[in-house]
Amino acid sequence: MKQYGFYIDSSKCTGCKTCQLACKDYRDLGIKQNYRRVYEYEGGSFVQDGDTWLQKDVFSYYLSIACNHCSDPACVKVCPSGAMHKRDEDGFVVVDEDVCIGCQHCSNACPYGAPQFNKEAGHMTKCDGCYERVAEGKQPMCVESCPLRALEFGEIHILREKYGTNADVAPLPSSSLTLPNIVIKLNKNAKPTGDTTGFLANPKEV
Amino acid sequence: MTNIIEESGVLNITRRGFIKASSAVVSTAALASGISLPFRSNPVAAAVSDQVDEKVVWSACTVNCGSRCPLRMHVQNGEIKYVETDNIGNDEYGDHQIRACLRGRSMRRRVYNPDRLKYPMKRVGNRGEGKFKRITWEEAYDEVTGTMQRLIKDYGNDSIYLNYGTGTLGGTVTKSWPPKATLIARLMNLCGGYLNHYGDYSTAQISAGLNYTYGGWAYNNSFSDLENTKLNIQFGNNPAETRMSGGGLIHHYIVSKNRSNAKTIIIDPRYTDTAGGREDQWIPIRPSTDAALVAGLAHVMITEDLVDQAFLDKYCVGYDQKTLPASAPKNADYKSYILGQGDDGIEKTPNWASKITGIPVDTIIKLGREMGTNRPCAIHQGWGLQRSANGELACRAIAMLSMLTGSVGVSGGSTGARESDINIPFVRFPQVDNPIQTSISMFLWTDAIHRHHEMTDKTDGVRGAERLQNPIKMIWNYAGNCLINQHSDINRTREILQDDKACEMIVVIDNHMTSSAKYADIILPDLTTSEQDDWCMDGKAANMPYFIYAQKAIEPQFEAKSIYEMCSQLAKRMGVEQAFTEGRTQEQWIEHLYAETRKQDPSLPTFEKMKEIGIYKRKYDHHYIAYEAFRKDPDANPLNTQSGKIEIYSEQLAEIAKTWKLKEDEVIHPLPIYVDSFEGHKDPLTSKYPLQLTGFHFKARCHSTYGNVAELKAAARQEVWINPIDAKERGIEHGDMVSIYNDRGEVRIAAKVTPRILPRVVALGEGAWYAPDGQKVDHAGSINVLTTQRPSPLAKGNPQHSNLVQIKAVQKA
Amino acid sequence: MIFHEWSLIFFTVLAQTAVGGYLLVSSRALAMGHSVEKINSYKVPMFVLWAIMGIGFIFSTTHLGSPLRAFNAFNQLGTAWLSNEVFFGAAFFAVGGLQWLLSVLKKGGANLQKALMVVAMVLGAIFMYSMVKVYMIDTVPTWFNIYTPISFVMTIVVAGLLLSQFVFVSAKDSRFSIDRNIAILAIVAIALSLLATIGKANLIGDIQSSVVKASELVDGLGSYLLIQVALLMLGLLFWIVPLVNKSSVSSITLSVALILVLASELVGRGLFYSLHMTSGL
Ligand code: SF4
Ligand code: SF4
Ligand code: SF4
Repeated sequence: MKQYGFYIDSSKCTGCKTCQLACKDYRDLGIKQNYRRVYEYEGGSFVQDGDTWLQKDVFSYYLSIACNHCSDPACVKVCPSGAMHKRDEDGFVVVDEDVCIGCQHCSNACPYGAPQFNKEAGHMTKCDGCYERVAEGKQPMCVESCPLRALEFGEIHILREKYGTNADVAPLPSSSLTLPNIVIKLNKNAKPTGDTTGFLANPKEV
Repeated sequence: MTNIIEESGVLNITRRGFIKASSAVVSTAALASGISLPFRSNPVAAAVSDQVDEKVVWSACTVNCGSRCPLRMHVQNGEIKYVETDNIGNDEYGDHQIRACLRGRSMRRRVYNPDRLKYPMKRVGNRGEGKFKRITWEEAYDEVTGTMQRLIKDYGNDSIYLNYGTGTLGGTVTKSWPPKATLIARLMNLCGGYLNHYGDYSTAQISAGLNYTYGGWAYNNSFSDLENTKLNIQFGNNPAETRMSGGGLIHHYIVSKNRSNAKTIIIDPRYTDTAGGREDQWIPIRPSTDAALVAGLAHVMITEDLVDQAFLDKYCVGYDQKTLPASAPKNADYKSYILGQGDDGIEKTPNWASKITGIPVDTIIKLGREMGTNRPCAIHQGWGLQRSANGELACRAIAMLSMLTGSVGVSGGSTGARESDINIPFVRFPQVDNPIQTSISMFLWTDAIHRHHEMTDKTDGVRGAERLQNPIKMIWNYAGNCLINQHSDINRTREILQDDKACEMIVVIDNHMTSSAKYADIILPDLTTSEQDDWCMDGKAANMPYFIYAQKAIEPQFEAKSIYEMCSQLAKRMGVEQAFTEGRTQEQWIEHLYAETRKQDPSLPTFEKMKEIGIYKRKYDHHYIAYEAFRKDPDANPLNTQSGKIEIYSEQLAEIAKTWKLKEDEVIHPLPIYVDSFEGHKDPLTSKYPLQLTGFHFKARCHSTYGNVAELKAAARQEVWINPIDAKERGIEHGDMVSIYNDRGEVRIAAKVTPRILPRVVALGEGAWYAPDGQKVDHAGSINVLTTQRPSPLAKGNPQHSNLVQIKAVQKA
Repeated sequence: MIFHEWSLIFFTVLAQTAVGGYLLVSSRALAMGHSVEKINSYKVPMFVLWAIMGIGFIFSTTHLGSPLRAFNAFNQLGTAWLSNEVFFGAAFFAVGGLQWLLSVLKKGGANLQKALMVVAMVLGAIFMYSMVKVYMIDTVPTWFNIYTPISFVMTIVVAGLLLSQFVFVSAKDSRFSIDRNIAILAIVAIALSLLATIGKANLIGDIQSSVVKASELVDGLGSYLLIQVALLMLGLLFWIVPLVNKSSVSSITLSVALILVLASELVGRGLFYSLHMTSGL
């Protein structure tokens, strides 16, 4: 069974959101839907010292996350209609929009915010890995768009050979929960999963 | 997190056994019911996409972000369905793809924006009220030429002004700046000329300031040369947010920096996205105090004998007594200034610099030593810090660091200016000379409307004449938003423009109903780049320059017409059509310009080939090294300065300082000294408005272009950055609605409470589309409601990053 | 506001009340060997129970984005707890409803009705179990803990007791001694559920991801908890005061008590859904 996945180089990502908007343009998504989302995690503080300011570990970094096409997908497990399913041929987790009943339980379960409800249409929507493009030998639109070359796409075992196996970093959940098919290169500023010293700076943008 | 779950104790009923039993029940139930599962609305149709009549057209994003990007328009049945970018080749660095940023990828939403101007329109309400009626193109042309002819007759051609506008800076036929390069200028010059402007909102102070140091526009090594440096210092330079293209500078910056292994230091009041974990050190600094930091660093290097004395002696004027010009007073040299032997008698110790900049003393000492011992250093400055009340001095001060370290003109080195690039020479639309010599600073046009009679060379930097003869009576505003949005002090501009007896005619040519278009008397709807052919030029791209043949992807929308057609029609009515068009259509000009270019450089692809490949890239195997020839042989290759050398002490500036009329708190100085500026952190006004407000370039827009694309607005929300320390004192939490105000106006916007900004400093992305309510309060976060129209002393430029404000909480999130 | 998931709030609370009530009424009928006449005499108050269940189901479908495809909810029977929940809920409704219909029509003997009762009780129990499992998702720390089953079971017990009591009283099938024992049971259950609420509040204080603190998910969490407890106590008061006064309980006071207890449960369930978060983004 083939399994595709994403490589996300958080040390390069500048949070420019080109990936997010390229996907939005290609998939013709409205304002509220973001199949790919760029999360801004930051923290640190300043202390005054006379006329000067000492900065104490001020940091920020970005994570560009779509759907991780998990090997143990929380979304698929809870879906009552079977609309949310994992494809045998490429390992993509896809929602069959014609079957979905819109109970939104998958979005309750996914710890990555990937499934998003389209209220007007009455069903879930989600990154499908651009499987049609991939079948034609192309890259997913978001990956190809990244100005910083911070995203890569391919069979996950190849990505893991190249870049290792890490998929854990704050504010993502522990990768043991859903076995996401992503490899993350950490930013110098990266904090471990479960970190509570920082905060998500852009909750309304994702 | 996971620990908590484990500790909490979970019901552990064996699940598998249960499911087995229940699924048996189920399958029988499903069978019995005879219902075929699952229920689908439309099983296969959705998977089959309709490929009929799809074409892919090379177009471009020609806005003023500094980059230019190819856009591959996927057009189905005459409509752009989605936008791709350069995806040709295998993207090897050096021959890499020119990837558009998030804005270019949203071009479709700009072309089909509900704000699009559809027909020519004429103002019916008060100016600025936004009430218009539709008129025909014939009526519009007649109205414009009729009024213009009358104004030329009554006041002269110098009453006609071409306002700053860079909306199509990357175009060739459609180019909107500099004024003399535009088709409007061509038209006007054939009709007697126009009042010109100098300088620009981006670089007014640095182009004026460093002109005296290096002679003309100051270049710096290209980013690609960072791979050779020993130390990378970015002063307020932020390519991740200002040069976002993935073929442009942020890509070059990161790749080259990573190749070098040099230490990277970012000096900026904001923890920028250029930093973001890619830096080795972030030094937050108070806005407008860069020159003080430089002086402190110079003190370290001078007292610890770390300066490149040989370089300073051979290539520079005025570092110490040895090279001070004869006209200069004793002890007017830079070294004396630093060591406290100059006029002010103050020694510029790290301690002194620390108090001003807010940077700890040991940080300054360490940095000074690092610079002095890691020569040559790559020192680049962004344009944000010069866009301030003392910007002309600040930018010159930073250049001092490149001189003290002897970094100028060598690989791995720098000049302290902003990075430069290699360009492909290209023949531009031929220009016609302007019979009018007079020129004003681009920033003083509002003054030239209502107090032209006071404006002279010595008071207001009028050039080409001693004083202004006429007020501005007519404004051409093409592809620009400086009529209201991007010019300082919106409320003052508003007042000046509201009087339609003063400036009698404003013609706005644009794509959308911008804030500026609302102040038009006549609106002429322009085509977007997607609706016409043009050459797209001047992308900043280090050592891999390129140009794009942007081709017409879709038919013109509504009644919009190209600038070329508009100007040709106007020229016809002014009786200069033949001279204007030289008998060519826009398409013919495009072919002609390329044919001329190929005459100079036959290695370029044919016109037909360009049509097909869309973009032409040229890979150079060397980097751009500024003033390399000068460094090799200064006598054979002198600079364009008075002395032919790098002028630390400028006699010309000494002369200007003596003769110009300045306000008490304004300083023009022959040396790059530090001075407190108006609306700086020491201004007495801080008792009322204690926060320094600085602007920055925001990813959701290129200045104000793309500012009406709802998807971009939602993806990168307009917010004011404020440190948690300042927020707490004001009871503000992340996301709360706040009011930012000073004597000039008030803006309401959500707060981004973040440690990524120095305390006592707040920052607002420039360019949001001014959205006033009835009480003149802006709700879009348009920074220019708060900026001042008071010009900087030397450049008479826009100090848009020198603002004092106060902030208060308005509404909880 | 904590009621954005109002359809699920009503569905789960009403279903738990109906199932709880049915389990208790039927156990008593079975345990005490009721005659078919006796069983049939419950038909009017039992209508109220089935109405509660029916309204619950209507609420559940209003939650769906595509209610016309509601049948697809059965597709993952056996693998997805939500499918199991819907299936066993429907089965419970069908079998229990059939039994009620027989009692109304006076058809079928005591044995048939009792057999159906047993089946319906089993289905109802599985239904309730599935409902708990639906929310036991390991990526949702505020749900994936012991308090989800406890609070669901407490709703079943407290609201079920009250509803069954209402059925008996309305059917004129109550005796003071039994009423009192039921009330004592209820007091114990409510005491337990108070303890659970406190325990849960504590746990919430500890749950936190890099993105949110569970305790900050709901504005005024404390006051909602107070309202929840106050309503429950008030309901209990209406229930037991008559018993303390040794007067017999009336269906009127019981209905008031039922409404108050349901209101308390709805607030509690509103909090439950509002406290949703994942361990990640
Ligand atoms: S396009 Fe690339 S650099 Fe930009 S946000 Fe996405 S992943 Fe990051
Ligand atoms: S990321 Fe979320 S939606 Fe995607 S497969 Fe994993 S659990 Fe499912
Ligand atoms: S805004 Fe600039 S970087 Fe972005 S697509 Fe346009 S030209 Fe490229």
